[in-house]
Amino acid sequence: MAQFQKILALDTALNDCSAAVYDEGKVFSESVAMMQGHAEHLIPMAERALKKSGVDYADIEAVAVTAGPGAFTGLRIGLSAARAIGLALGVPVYGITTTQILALQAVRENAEPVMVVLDTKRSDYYVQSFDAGGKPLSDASVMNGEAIKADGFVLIGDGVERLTGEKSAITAIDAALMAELLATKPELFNLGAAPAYLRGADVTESKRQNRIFEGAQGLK
Amino acid sequence: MNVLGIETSCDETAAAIVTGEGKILSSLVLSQIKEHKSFGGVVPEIAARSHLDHLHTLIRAALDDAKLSFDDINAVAATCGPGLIGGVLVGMMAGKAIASARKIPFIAVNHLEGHALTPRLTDRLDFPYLLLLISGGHTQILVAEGVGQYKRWGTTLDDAAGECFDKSAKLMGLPYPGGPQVEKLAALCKNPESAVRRFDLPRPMLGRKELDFSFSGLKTAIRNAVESLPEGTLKQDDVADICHALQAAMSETLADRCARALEKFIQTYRPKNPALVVSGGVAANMAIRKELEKTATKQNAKLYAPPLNLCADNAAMIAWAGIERLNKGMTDPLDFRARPRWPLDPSAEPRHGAGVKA
Repeated sequence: MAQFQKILALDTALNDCSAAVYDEGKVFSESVAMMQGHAEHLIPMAERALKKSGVDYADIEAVAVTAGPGAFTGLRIGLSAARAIGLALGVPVYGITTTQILALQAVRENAEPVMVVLDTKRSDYYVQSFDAGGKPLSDASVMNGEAIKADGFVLIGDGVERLTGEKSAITAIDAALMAELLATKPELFNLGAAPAYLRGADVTESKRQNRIFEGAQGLK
Repeated sequence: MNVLGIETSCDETAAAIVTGEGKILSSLVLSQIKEHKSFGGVVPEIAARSHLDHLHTLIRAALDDAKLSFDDINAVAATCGPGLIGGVLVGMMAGKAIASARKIPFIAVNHLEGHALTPRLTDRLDFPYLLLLISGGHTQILVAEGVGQYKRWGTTLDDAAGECFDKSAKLMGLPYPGGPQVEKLAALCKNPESAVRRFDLPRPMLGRKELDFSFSGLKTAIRNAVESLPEGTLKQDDVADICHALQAAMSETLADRCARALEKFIQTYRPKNPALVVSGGVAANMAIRKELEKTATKQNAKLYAPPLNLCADNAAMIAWAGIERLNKGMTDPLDFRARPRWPLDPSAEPRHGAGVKA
């Protein structure tokens, strides 16, 4: 994989809106905590991060973005913007999971196995466990609180408070780390940035029984 | 000048490139009908996912189709409402991102203005003109006075015209989307005159002075008509009769409202060449067009109906609305907030019960 020296990173998947620019070892970032408003703030924040860094869009070699799990609408905001910037600049776009970034943020401070627990805004959680080096020990999945076996793990993420009553110190994605990781550990990313929804669109087929029309099969 | 248009507000993903002179260099539309069919209607989350899956490749394809690169694109126009917000956000973000990365102007387009300005793209129509906007989500009578200037004279109080077609079709066991199916089946009606006697459907609001619409009663009447048929599978002749009766009731209702609106329009604006424009997905229905044509001719007005591919949702109309706004110096900042509800005439009073369709 190519070594990228100038990278733009975007995150809108959880409860922050962030943009960061990696420029040959130095990182410049912008981040604001917000529950909504990502679609308004993201692009101006990317422009501010670029301005701070002195890097022009034309010099960007790759775009990094969080692909989920997270809020469906939020992650699509970042993914659509990242893919469009990649398209407009003719550069590749790479996705990374929110759980992977948060795990690396945690082990960077404290080299212990971690379990990332994210709030799904429903009754369950997005969960993934990692070893002390930040390597995944399981796939990210949707779990009910009772099913989460947290022994031996440090719990992090915005779902920890609802699960245990105690706040986690690490809940916000560090876009600066994401930008740096694409330069230093590109193998953590997926090219094309496929969304990681972790669940279906949650719809049921219409149950209402309407009359059947004999010729309906022939209609297109 | 070349403008890229992006449309993702309902169940079509679309990208187009239009020149400042109104030449459509490319207009690509990807319908999601198949993805929503088994649910009998558009599922917002499925629609939003599908827009994200396809939009960016479609923009690339539109450029290739027009034999252009991003260097040749001078502005980006994206639908920023009204519509299903999850999908709107996908298109709006792509538009903003391209505008930012290429350092070109961004235009936040009201989807309805895209429909409203289409006759200026296709027929170079001058303002003012009377506009009947009929689609799955909207049924409105508006006067287009200028770019960004509209007077709403009438709107539906409940279902939209296309919604009435779709829901009625569903009751008859016809696949989604039902509007085109109703038209196909109506064409198979063997005796139209007896069909309208056999199924005596209401003409909602007919003869009323106000220019509003109401279609939920018509839908209920269709339900009763379907229930009145013999048990078991529905026979084609019966369904064709109901479809014809429905189409006739819809056409007459729309024509009645338009006749009154046209009269008011001519009195109020005294236009040299009065024009009635019909646009939106339901404007593809030929029986409705024919009825509106008669209505216009009676008052020495001319009916303008865009070609079918520009009646239904598309991105060429969004690019064109972008061009019209750009020509007036109307561009938008990159922190623009998408609007799930976005009336063309903000001064018009919301109608009770009309919800987002007003």
